[in-house]
Amino acid sequence: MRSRPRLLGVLIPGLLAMASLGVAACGSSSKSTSSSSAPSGNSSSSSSAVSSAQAKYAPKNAAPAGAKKGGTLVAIANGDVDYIDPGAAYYQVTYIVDLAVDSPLMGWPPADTSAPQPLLASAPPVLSNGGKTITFHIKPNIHYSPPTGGGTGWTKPVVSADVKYAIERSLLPGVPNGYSTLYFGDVDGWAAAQAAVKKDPTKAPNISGITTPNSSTIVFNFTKPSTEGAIGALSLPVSSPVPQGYAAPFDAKTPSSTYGEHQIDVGPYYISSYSPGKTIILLRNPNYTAGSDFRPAYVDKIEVQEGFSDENSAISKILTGQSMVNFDFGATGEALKLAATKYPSQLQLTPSGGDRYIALNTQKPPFNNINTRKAVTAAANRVALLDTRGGPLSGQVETHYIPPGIPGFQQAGGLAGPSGAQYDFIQHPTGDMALAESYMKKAGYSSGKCTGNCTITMVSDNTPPGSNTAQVLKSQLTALGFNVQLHPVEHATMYTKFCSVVANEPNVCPNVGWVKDFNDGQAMIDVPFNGATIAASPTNNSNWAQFNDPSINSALESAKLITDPTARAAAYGKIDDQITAQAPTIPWDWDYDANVSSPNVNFVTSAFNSEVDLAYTSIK
Amino acid sequence: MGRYIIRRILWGIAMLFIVSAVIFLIFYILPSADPAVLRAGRNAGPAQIAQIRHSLGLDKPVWRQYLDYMQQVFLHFNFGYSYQYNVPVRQLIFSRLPATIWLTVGAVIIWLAVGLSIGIVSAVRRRSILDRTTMTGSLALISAPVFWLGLVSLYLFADDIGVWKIFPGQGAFAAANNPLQKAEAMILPWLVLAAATSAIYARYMRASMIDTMSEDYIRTARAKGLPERTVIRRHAVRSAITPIVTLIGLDVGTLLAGNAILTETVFNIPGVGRLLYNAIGVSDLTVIQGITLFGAFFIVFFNLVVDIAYAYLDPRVRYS
Repeated sequence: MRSRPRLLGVLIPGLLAMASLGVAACGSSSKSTSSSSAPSGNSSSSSSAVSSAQAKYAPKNAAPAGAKKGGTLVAIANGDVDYIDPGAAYYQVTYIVDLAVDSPLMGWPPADTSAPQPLLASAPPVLSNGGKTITFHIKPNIHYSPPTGGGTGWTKPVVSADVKYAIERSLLPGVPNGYSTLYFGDVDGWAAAQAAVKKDPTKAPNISGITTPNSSTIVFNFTKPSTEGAIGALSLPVSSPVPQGYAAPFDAKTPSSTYGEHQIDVGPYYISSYSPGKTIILLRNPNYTAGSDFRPAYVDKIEVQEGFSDENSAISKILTGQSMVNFDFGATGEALKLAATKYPSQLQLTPSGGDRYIALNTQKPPFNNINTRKAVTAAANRVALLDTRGGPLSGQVETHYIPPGIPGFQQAGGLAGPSGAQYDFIQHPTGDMALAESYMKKAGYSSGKCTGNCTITMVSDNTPPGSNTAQVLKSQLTALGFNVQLHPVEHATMYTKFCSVVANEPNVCPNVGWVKDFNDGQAMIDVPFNGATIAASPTNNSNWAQFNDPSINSALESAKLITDPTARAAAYGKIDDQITAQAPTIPWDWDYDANVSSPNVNFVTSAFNSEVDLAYTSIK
Repeated sequence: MGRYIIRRILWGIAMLFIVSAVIFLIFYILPSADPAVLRAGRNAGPAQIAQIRHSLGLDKPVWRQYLDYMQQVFLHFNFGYSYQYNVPVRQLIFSRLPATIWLTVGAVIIWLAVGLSIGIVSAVRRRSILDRTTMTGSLALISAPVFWLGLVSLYLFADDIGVWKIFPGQGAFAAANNPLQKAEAMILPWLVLAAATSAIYARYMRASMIDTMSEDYIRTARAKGLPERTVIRRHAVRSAITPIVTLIGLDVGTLLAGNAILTETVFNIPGVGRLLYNAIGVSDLTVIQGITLFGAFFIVFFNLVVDIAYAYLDPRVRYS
């Protein structure tokens, strides 16, 4: 689901605007191979995946030769991270900090989107037992930073048990992790651990399927070979080590663990202080050994100043050198035009690795009829919808669901989308009323427009740009004869009271979308289109179309077990096309993150999350 | 006097209980979003949501939740946990209060100095060009929304994006390192926040002064041969200012309670108002509830202070 500028996570409140996320390439992390094993045709730099706007303001994914060390980097933000605790962090904006301070088993150098690289791990993981066991070895002599906010830290070096505990604590209600069960749910003993934490929510449960034969080895045993997604998820902050001896007293606090405010980090930087909604200060980790991983860490100090609600003036501050880089918001509207025309060298457009679509409730009339869904999709002027967010500088018209750069994108048809007569309804970006009317006739509306009971409900954001998108869509649906009852509400209300509550869902949710957790087809299309997720989360449903096609559900379950990168990309590309053919939504935006920097900054964008990479950005 | 104060304090406490019950009903019976789902985040299943609901105590009967909440508030001064920031609400409010106090104190000084002066002069020189000009000007300022005035002032005078780069702009207060820099960063916010309020005070003061100046005791003072300046200062202003004191009490209380939300948001001042703005945007119910209750306390407290101040300012008031 989408929410606020470049957030991965969603439902949580912090949803003030909207934007997007990371880029990608092939996220199929190879167990024993390096990134060079990426299947061809999936790179985000592939010409067919790059619009002219993006090519003109191409992201810089590497530090320039001779980048200087030292100085203070100031980033300005509107909102805040979702959780400062790495075990709960789930917004892409939070990952900006996490990429600099944490060391998950795997990580993402800014230019490499093909597969995660070993970070805390000393080498790529080894798969065994028919793909059901993953083994990692971790680097020796990694030490923890001083704690956030001061105090006595943890002097012992990192051991594999710290990684095990980091994952186990993600089951605590006080560490509300949004993805660990999704990707690690097939780990042996996971369900038992969930039951144990229900009895004692103050103590992280033992997960029997995660073992540490010695201090440098950690083994994950799965009940089935769904390990590919798990390896991708091990590049997320949840696998950054947390020593039980240090963290357990903080984790015992209710209703929330306080470890985040006292955390100890192992990356090149550590969170020196965190004042919620005000500032985040990162300093060099004095216990970090330079060269122990791929992060060069140029600047000495990073200061995130929060609360800049007027994003246009905040962008102006950066462009004119009054501040340095943007944090949780990108340039939009007039500020984006200003950056593109007057400060082109300071603007970088990066595909977010996500999409925006209009969910049509497939479980009740009139959109339980595929022809009605195809009709409204054919009628939709998606270019006009894109204009509500800033036009071509803000993204590309979406033609299927896996976005540029993610494995499966090319296989699903690339930018042009799937071809063939069965996809004609998606092939007219500015809309085709004649085609729409033909589908309406097939749906039983003899005049080609809705007649009779044509009232449909739509619940949208009550603030721009989401509210503008809803208004434009309303006029387009009205042209097909529908009487649209539009209810604009707060963003959080839209999800937790309507669009994510199966029983309350309206006919149309115009302001939803999805962003990948990491570069893999599973992370992009499984949750929003797998019918199994509806029953699993009836009050927190992310399958907003309530799309439930048994054959596609089955294909999604099978694809999770594929470990070969090429075959996996092909499988997800095929499923993407199958979903597109069913028209569960109106897909309209593969958006960009528009990042800006001041003239004195060498801004490096992480292709993983399409945000500033703090460990690579430097002062000129 | 002592019994009066005790009575008012008891009434104030009762008022806080009533307010807290109303706030609780609004936020927990009719919430705009489900707090447990908000905290659980994306992909959380029913079991995880249920567990979080339990850990937050949201699965208890409403009356029990209310009693627990009030027990925490009154016995432990604990307003709960922020869903968004994952820290105690009390900690959040206290960390934001200094910035709001900075803003409030400066703005109050400005609007009292400007508003009362203009009100007095306008009343004394009634129907003069000065009177008409200031009253027209005050009407214009009252009509200008704070957020609009704030944005215009930033685009005209801020040192980063302004046409004339004179005053520190958005975010300057948070970045300031010493009191002098903080005061400098507050100049625009003070002026913007004080603009409309000083205009209101000027009109109130003028009206009150005009009423007072027609009283018999003013005529008597003049008949005694007192200089006009003395008549105005010692007799007219002292009496006319009494209703203004009521306003000050309420205004200061509401500003400390987060009513400077627009000014703090436009200028990115990390105060209680800005915290409230963020909390509303993300349905962080415990924070909204805590600030509202905290604000109610300030308003009740300053009302009490005002009532007591009446005794000093207006000898006609008796507390028995």
